[in-house]
Amino acid sequence: MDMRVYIVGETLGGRLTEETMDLASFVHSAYGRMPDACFLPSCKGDDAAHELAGLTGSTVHLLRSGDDLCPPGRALAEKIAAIIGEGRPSAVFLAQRFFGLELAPMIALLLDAEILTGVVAASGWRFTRQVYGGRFVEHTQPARDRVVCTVFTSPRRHVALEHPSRGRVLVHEAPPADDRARLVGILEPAVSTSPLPEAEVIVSAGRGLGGKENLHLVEELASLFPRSAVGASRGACDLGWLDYSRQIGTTGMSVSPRLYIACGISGAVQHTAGIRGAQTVIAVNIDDQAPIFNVAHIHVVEDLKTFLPALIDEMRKAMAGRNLG
Amino acid sequence: MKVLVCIKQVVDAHDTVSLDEAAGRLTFAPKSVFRMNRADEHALEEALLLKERLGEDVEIHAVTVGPPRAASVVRRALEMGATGCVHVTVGDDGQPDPSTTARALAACVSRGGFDLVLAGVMAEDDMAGVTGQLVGAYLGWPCATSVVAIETLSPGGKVRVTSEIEHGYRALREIALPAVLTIQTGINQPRYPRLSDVLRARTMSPETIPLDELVPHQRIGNAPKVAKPASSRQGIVLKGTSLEKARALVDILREKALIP
Repeated sequence: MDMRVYIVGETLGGRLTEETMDLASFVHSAYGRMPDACFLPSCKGDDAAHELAGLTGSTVHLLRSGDDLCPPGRALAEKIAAIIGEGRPSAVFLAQRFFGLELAPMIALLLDAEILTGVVAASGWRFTRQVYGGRFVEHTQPARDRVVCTVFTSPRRHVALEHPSRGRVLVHEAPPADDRARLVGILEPAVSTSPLPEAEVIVSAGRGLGGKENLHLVEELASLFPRSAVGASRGACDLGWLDYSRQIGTTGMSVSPRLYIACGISGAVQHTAGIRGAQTVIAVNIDDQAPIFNVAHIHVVEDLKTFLPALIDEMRKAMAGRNLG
Repeated sequence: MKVLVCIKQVVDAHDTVSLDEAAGRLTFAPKSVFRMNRADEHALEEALLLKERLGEDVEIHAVTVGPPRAASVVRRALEMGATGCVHVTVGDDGQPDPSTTARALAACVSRGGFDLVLAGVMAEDDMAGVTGQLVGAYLGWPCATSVVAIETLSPGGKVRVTSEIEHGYRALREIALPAVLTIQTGINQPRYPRLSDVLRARTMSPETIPLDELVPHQRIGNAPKVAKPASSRQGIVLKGTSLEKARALVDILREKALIP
């Protein structure tokens, strides 16, 4: 199929984000070529635009924009849609993040394109998206000849061009921001007192734990490891079992402990994106179909209420034995 | 001020959903229980809190687009304290795609003269996370997603909202009404219905409107085929009784020098 492929990248503090390079690599692995053109909304992204042009060999449209983290509304979407213009079938890819999820629907509407979010794979005109927390996927072949996708990028080996070309950068002046949605400011993350970044072992609780009354099992298990901490899924934080400073995943923290034990966490990609750096992942879940088992190195299909006490008991015995010996 | 809250009925436990591989579609077990999508429950609660802050001249309406069984979630919205509700009906177990749903919701907004639309940030079943933004786009209204705090600046005029970005960053924006906000979970604690509201809800019935009436020219897309994800399972599956698994795990932790 003769189609044009575009990506919309992001910068932070003038630098190209990792997700933008992941997006370019996603396109390369899906289509065997780099995007035909890239869009880069950025407030001061000149260097980033040249870097992206060098990386992809493509035309990079640098769209000067008010803030890197927050899309300035419809005007930006209009600019992108105008540059794509009429003509050939096209697919536009954005990262499945705040920025992409605010911008993509407007681009889709302006291009009269189908919108697909949560995309994990693409091949030709066939797109795969996650549903039901990653338990199932949907394969879609859009009826229209234009599609806008937000993609769960994953860190992959960034593809380098065999014959590096410098690409080119075209600079477009800022579309005026929509004064009906005025950005007042970006709040930086609070200085974290969370023990998660330093922890070598993290034991995390999810909704599958059943109730706050079972949280002590997770805490007790964690306490048996040196340099350990208790983490949580978004669901467990929403239920008030643990503070949001313990939340791991796309809207929480990314962690890289030596050992990660997921207790009752189903393992939607929003959570597992935060544990890619973990060396060993143990998943304990009663549901053997839970997507967490797709990333776990050790699978324990058990009821937490019986398994965790048994594990705690066995660990205590083993450690006591070792101390005596 | 009139607030419309968009709610969706979803299946409670994902392990009661199974795949008909030949047909490429999902089927629900007879024991499947359906309930309000959690993020939508937070959106409804946020609307009710707005009403408590701003007073009685705020009207909260709930709307759902879904099959006959979805009537239970708009009824639940009435029990939680909504002033009125609408059920946009579709056949059987059907659920239109986010674009069609958003067009139906936008039509409801125009009919009802609403100033503010709240929706959950994402539905737990199709995980599209895009319906609210599309409603805003169809109406030409500003939309803020992933909202974790709403402050009213002037009733019916302007709100100041905090949106959650990744990695702890948050955006603070002033949004002029009319507008659409998509609400993130955890913004509040949804209430349990009060007996008086439950009794009041019993005397009311949702207004029903067929989807075809609201969206007469639906674009028929290719229905997606549902499948199991390509398995990337490579882990070791522990076998035996609970105790045997615990012992095996302790051995592994020792081998990896993760416990002393």
